[in-house]
Amino acid sequence: MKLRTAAWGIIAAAFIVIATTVAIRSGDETTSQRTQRLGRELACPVCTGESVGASNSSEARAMRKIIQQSIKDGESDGEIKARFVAAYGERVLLEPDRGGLGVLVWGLPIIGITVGAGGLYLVLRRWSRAPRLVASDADERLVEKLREDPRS
Amino acid sequence: MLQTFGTFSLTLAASSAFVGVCLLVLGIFRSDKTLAAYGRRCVWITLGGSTASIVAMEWALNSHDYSINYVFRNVANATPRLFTITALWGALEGSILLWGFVLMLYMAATALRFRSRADDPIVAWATVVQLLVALFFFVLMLGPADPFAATGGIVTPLDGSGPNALLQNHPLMAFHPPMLYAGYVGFTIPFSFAIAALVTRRFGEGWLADTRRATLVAWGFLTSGIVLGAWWSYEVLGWGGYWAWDPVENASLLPWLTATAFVHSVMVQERRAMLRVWNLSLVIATFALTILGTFLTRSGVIDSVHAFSESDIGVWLLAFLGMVVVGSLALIAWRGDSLRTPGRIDSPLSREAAFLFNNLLFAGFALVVLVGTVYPLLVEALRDQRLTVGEPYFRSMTTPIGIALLFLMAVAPVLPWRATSTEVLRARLLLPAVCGVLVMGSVVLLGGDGIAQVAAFGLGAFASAGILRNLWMSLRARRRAHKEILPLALVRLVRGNPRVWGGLVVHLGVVAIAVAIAASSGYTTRVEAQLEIDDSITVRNYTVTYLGSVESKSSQKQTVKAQLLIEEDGEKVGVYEPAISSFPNARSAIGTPSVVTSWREDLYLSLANSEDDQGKIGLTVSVNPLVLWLWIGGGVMAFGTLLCLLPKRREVLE
Amino acid sequence: MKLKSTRIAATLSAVVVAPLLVLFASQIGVNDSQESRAVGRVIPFDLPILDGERLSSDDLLGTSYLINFWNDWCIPCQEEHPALVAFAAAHAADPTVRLVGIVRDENSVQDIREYVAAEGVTWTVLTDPDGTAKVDFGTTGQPETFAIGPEGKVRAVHIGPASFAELEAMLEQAR
Repeated sequence: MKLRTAAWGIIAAAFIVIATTVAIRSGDETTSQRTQRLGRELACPVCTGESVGASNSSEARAMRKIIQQSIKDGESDGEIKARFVAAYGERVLLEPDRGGLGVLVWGLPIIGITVGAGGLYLVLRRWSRAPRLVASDADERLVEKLREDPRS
Repeated sequence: MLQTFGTFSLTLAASSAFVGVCLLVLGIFRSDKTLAAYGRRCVWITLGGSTASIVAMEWALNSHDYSINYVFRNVANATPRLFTITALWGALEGSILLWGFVLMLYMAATALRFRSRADDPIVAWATVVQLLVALFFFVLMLGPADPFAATGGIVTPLDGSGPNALLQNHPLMAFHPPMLYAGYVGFTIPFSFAIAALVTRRFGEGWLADTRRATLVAWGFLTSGIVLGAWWSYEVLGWGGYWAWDPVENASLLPWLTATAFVHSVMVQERRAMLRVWNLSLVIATFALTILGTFLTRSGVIDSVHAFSESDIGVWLLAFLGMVVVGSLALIAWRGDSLRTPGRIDSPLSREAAFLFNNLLFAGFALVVLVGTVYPLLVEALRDQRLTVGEPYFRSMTTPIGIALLFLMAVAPVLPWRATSTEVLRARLLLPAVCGVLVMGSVVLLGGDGIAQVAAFGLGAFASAGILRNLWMSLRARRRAHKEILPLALVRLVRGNPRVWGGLVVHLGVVAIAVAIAASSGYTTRVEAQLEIDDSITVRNYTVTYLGSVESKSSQKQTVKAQLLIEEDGEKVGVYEPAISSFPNARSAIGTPSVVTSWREDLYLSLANSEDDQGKIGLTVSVNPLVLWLWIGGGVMAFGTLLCLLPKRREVLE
Repeated sequence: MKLKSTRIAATLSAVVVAPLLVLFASQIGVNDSQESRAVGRVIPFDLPILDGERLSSDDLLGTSYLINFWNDWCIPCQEEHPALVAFAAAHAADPTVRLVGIVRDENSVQDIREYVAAEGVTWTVLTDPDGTAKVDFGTTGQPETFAIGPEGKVRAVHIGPASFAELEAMLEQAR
């Protein structure tokens, strides 16, 4: 038993070491990684449903070149994206805005999951707090009846 | 000729579906068994009509009967035989034809299975609902999506315009859409039984048992269809990925998510008679989402690579969707309060609680996909502004959910029903946790980064170690008790509870897919290059040398192939030929990538442009790790589903 | 009390879903309008002249000019070509008016040279090897024509082949 507790301790420690290493490592992006990420975040303006990074269209290729050049010129992600939005409008952004109507698309799922999780927590807590019900014979019969799917 | 025959068969199918509905409903209300029996026979007549219409269409396609518009638009004289046959589902009208036929096959199988219980009201009502759904699709084919419509004009054209260029590029096209349809359509069966349960007030677990197989079959087909679709996208579209969060892909993912939630939560209802309303809602939602998906992809309201048709079918689908949703909700509301059961869950550390968390996550996942897919429509309607919601949104929203699901998948199967102690858990999870941490450590030592990626690897190892440990313990116990050799013990163990073991095999497939997704989304190297003849480029440990181009022309397409010599660590692998083709009926050229596949990684070559005036080709070279495991994982999931379908064999006690 | 909740939830869901369906229905058959966003903006460019030096938007300040995105292999561009020739001829003597062609996606500079020589292109032709201009102007195809005023702002946009009268009207807006 002691051994097992120790083993779990080692696992936890190893996990923490790994997690911190990963957290520290996931930092700097190279130019090509950044080009690729921005390419994924922008829609190819002449394609249907393809990103700048994925498309082979001449527009997408030009946009990749522009992204690379702008990164070399030290522009920020926002500046690079703004250039394309100015030319083609917001539809080139594959990530919806977080303000305005965009609150819906970001917020709804998060609210949905949070409410669901909260409800689940409350109901589980109520169940585990309530003394375990002792089923009366009548209850047992009721459950049995519902389960059996009476043919009437 | 064929046109008249086809239209006649469709009319026959539609009218017999209608008559069947009337006879069955009358029979049920009057308790007239003869009437109901006649009504049931209509299923077979409808199947006959549907089969005849499929035969007529295939005949027309293969004999190049261009007096039928569908044939004219989707095949040409030079189209190869395989793509002539698959042209049946190459466009809207034909795919609805196939849809109707698959639905009739499911209905026939259901009718056969329940022939001894045919007078049972729940079966009769389910048949009514199925016939109504069939009626809708056959009316569609007689009205706005008529596959046998005439080409028009005075002279019948001598050659057709040929299939959509993207659809005649790869044999995978032959299998992917029918698989998807078989998945989509199959959910009609559980849906019909759910509605029948509501109508007949038999909310118990009976309808679940009745539809367990149909649900699993549909789920298995949908899973395979989605994986094959991803494979097609990877092998044909040439952008180097397999999932673009395109509306059409999302449309197939949505019912899959709710159906997956359902196949899990069903077990809670079977065990504890709880979650009845929830399960009914999941089944109804799954069916409604298949219709919504069809609407989104076929009405032309959303742009997509796959949405190859626009027609006025949208209004019909929407009206049908409205009827399904409002009708089902009304039924639930009407019956609702007698649906509730006094069940409870004893402990959050129990299998049933884990299923609840699973359902929360799957429902949340579905909500993310639904909201992200529908949002552009909303914005366009409210603001008249065009937007696209793409990969970055879905990636950042679904990654945490996916990781949580993986964690749950690792832990839940070791949780016993009702309740457990942390002590038991610590004992059971120790070995899997060690494996998980070891794998995470190795990934980090090998230079892996990205929290989600490392977590996916670790949890994948955690989950599969848990499954293998479980298998090992059960096998050991069995061998001790029965003194069997290992293979026999394995077979008997699985046959003893195919559902549990099949489910665990599916989980192993999921692990393979999750790890492959993590690796290929995080650790891909992608390089674009302009190469002259004899130029080479080195990507990781591969060297790609451009040898020259070969041009070929046929009446269907003009293709330029670039010949590339591939060397791995200095050793010759072979000559690969990514190509770029232009089709007379397509606006832009279509690339055909070439992939060097191995267990470890794929070298993915796609041609951006053929030689320009400086003699340079544009080439995209990427090294995508572990992609093969996506397809293997898909196969494992399909195999696991098959195992689940095996009948449970009871041990004969000697 | 508690027992009503299923009914309430079902009704609520119906109330949420119904308007959504109506909203979808409203979108059927609505074509996405692809309006150019260029009007009113100053879009700088600096591109090589075919077989020559460079030309930038700054060089053209003070003149009213049309920028025509085109290509030698594009059939609608060939349809538009006579209108461009007529437009160039009509304003050849006016130093405050210019016509500038920008080649969109050239396959081969040699082909462009041949086209310019054979088809009587008298106006300045710029190439766009990096594709910056075609992206910055938000073009999605060719031909597309932009009218630019003396202060450098885009005043009018025409997508697809334009007639002589349409080119003249655009120039009027750019004056």
